[in-house]
Order: sequence, then structure tokens, then C-alpha cells
Amino acid sequence: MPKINRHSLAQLQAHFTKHLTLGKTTNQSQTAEQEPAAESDALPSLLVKSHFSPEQLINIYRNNFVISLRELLEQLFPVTQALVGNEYFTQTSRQFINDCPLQEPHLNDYGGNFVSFLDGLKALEQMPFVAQMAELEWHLDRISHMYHEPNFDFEGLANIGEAKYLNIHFVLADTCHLQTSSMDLIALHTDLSEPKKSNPGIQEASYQQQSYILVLQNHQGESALMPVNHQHWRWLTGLKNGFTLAQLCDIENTDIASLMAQITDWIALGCIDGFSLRVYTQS
Amino acid sequence: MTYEQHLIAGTGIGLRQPHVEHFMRGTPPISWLEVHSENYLQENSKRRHQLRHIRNDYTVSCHGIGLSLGSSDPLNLNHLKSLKSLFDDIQPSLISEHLSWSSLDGRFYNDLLPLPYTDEALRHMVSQVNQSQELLDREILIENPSSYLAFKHADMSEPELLNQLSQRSGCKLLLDLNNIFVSCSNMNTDPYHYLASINWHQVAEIHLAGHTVKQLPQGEIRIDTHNNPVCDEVWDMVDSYRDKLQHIPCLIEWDADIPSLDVLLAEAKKAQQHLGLTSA
Repeated sequence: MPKINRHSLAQLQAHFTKHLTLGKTTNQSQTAEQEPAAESDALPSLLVKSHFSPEQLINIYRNNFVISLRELLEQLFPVTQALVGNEYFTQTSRQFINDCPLQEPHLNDYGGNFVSFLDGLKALEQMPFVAQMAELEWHLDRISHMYHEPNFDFEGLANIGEAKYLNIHFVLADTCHLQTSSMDLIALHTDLSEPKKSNPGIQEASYQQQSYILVLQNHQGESALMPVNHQHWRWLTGLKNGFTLAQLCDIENTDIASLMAQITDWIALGCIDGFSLRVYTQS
Repeated sequence: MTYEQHLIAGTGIGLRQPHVEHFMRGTPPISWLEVHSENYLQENSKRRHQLRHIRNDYTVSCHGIGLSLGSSDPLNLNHLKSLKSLFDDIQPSLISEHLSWSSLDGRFYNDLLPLPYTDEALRHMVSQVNQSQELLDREILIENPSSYLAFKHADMSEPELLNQLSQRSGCKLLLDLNNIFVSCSNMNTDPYHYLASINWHQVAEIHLAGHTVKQLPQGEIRIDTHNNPVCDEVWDMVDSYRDKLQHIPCLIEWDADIPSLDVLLAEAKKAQQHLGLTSA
């Protein structure tokens, strides 16, 4: 019997992954002969001869991994896909899968850095709203999967006494995300989620309007988009940054009663789920 | 929380997201459920909360795809820690993984990649399974993969490797009859010879699933897609090995193009009939 050149497990796996990341995914009914791996011809010589070519066989594994990740990106970012078109989205997804490989043994966080990837693409330099839409979709999905049961400690708040209210820092729930854009992202999201048959295209100019957005989990446990005004936006951003009520009153020149009324609304919406007392010295 | 511990028996189905609400609202008639561990790792996720709820009414097994036991990379201790936390929480009756690898140099490929069936691969798998069982403080079941290619430098067959692995590490085996049929068809080997080579004392779970036949210019190849009913040839294998199989918990796996729960329950009932556990 001819002596077979034995590779260690590590060597063989290195050859295999090299082939896996080279070449091009094809429909499995097609032959992949036209896309041979350009380097590392060691692997084909290590395989038992079959009536299928090594590249066809490796392509089955390649398809499984690339297509599963691409389908996940399509599932996570449907509106972003509608915004840039299927062809560009497919091409960009493929580049992302190659440049930002999966680094966890699960898919729970995969796609999070697609936002910064899109933001860094030269082709999208004049369209920052594409990455902003991806960010919005990422948080819509993330928040929809979180388990959140509002359990604000109203009794504890009542025990503090109004005299100390200025020292309270209210904690924004993990199920909230704040985002701003120079485009009306909510309108764009709505229109692209339900494209009108008579008017499939979008006019960028008609969405040019500064928007402040709160992504939250509603009482049905679904993620939802809520537009907020600029003042509320600044308050929410302040809460996110750990500001006390005294600091929020300072930056907005607001009275505590108006602020507390708004805070009560946000508690009812499930946006605030705790508080702590902090010492704040007015500068 | 402590759940009632029951032995897994009879036929179960893989719990998939489109069917979760049925199990949250009621108790559809099925003996047990299997979940993909990686979908439930996040402690404060809705999925984990739903699984805790469902676990009150059903015995559950956890089937993993991310441990990459056959990889020459060291074991991913963070992943093992997350898995242990899930298992401590849910208290599954069985936990399982695959005879495969899916990562190298920290990059994951989200697929079950093939191992060469060599002495080195066996030693490596034994070591990885031993470490995993020790860290998880539980016995693992190892499942045979579907294969589309084989490596020349093999020292043993797949069933021989599985037998050796279970003997040396104390793990049990999860035998996927569809995977055996797919692999044997693709490799031109005899699935009944495979079944005859298995040490059945070590088999603790059976999987049944469907697959896809793809036509390539040189001929057809079977792809393990889990998106179809179990094929006739696999039911024939079940019939032939009924005496051995009917004492082993059996699972209907359906992962893509997921049908209604009724279809899945009917497939489980069909399995019960083939196993001689209920009349036709």
C-alpha cells in the first residue's frame, strides 16, 4: 500500500479552514469547479477519492456556514437591506462575514458590529443613515429578546422624602436605547417595513429631519420605537450618563416638579427601573 | 429552583421558537423536549425565562453545537461556564454534543466540520470530553455527524471511534439514524453494517430527522438539512433495530422550514408506532 502523508489534527484543520474561507459560496446544485481554492492544495490530496470534486464537497460546509450567517444578517437588518437593496446587502454581508469572523460559539451577539462595519464603508460615507438604521434594528432585535419585568420600588422612593429628591439618580432600564439622527429614522423604518406597492422607492430628502428616538420594550414585551422631543432626549441622555435630578434641573433650567412628572411617565413605560441616592454639589 | 427529575423515555421533539407559545399556554402531548443549548445561554433573555416555565411541565434535554470538541484549539472555558450555568438552572436530563469541530484559532464556522478518524483525533476527543464532563460535572452524549467527505489517513471507522470514545471517556452516545443514512449514502457504505458495529450499551439517545437530496452533475448527494420528514430508508432502519431502539429515548429533529406543531407531533407519533410503543 502506498504510504499516506499524515498531517497532524491541527495541520489538517488549518488546511480545511483555509479552503473553507477561500472560494465562493454557490448554490449546492451548481458545480463549484470554477472556483477552486487558490492556495493550499494539500487538502484535496488528503481526501478519499469521490465522484465529486474536493471543492464541491468542501463547498457544502462553506455554504452551511456562510449562508447561515448571511441569513442571520438578513433577519436582523431587513430594513437596512431594503434601504441599500438586496444586491449591495448580499455583497456587504459577504465582506462582513469574511472581515469580522464569528468569534463566539453561538450567534447571540453576531451582527452587533455590523453597524460600525457599515459606518466605516467608503461607499456609504454620504449615507450615514444606513448605519444608523442598522443600529436601530440591532437594538430593536436585542431589546425584543430581553426578559424585563418592571418592578420599580415605589415604596422605597416614597421613603426618601421630597427633600432629598434632587440627589436621586434614576436608572435607565437595559431594555432602553437612545438614538439620534439627522433623518426621521422612525418614518423611514415604518415606510420601508411596509413598502407601498405603488411607490416602492424612497426620497431621501423627504426624511431629512432631526430625530430623537427611544427604543423600548412595551408592556406586551415587544420592542417599540418612540419619538421624543429634544428636552426629553437631553434628560434621558443625562439619566444614561448617571446624572442626578439636580444636575438635570441645572442643564435644562427646569423645576423639579416638571421633571418628576416626566420621570413618573417613564417609570410607567418601564424605561426606568431603579434609583440610587448620590451627593451632588452645585458648581 | 429545583425541578422534578424524570427519566427521559419515549419520543420527544426539538423545541423550536415558532412552537414555544404552544408550550407556554398549554401542554401539548409529547413525552419530552430537546433544546439547542446555545439559544438559551443568556440568563436575562425571554427564551431562558420561557424555558424555565416550560421545564415545569416537561423533561428537557440540552443539545449543543458550539463546544467544538474535535478542534485542536483548547476548550472554550467561557462557553463551558455558560453551559454549566444553563444546566444548573434548567437541570436537563441529558446533555449532548457532536463528534466534530467548528472552530480554529478562535474563529467559529457555525457548522459541524468533519474529523479524521485517527488515533490522534480519538485521543484528543477523549481528553476534550473528559475535561468537559469534569467541568460540567455531568455525563455528555456524543452524536455522530453527517459526512460529505472522508479523510484518507483513517485508523478506524466512525462507529469504532465512537465505541472507543465512550469506553475511554465514559460518555454515552447519541445515535442519529438520519446522519448514519446520509453519511453511508454519501460514502457508499452500508448503514446496517454501521448499526451492527455500534456498542448499543452506550447509546442513550436516538435522533431521527429528514434530509435533502441534491443533484450535482456527477450524481446525487444527501445533505443533512433537517427540513423534511424522516425518509423511508431511515424508518426501515428503525424497524430493523426496533428491539434495541424502543428502550432508548428518541427525538424528532426539525431545524429548518419548520412545520406546524401538529406535523411535528404526528411525526413523533409515527416514530412511536415504528418503535412499537403505540399501535398504528
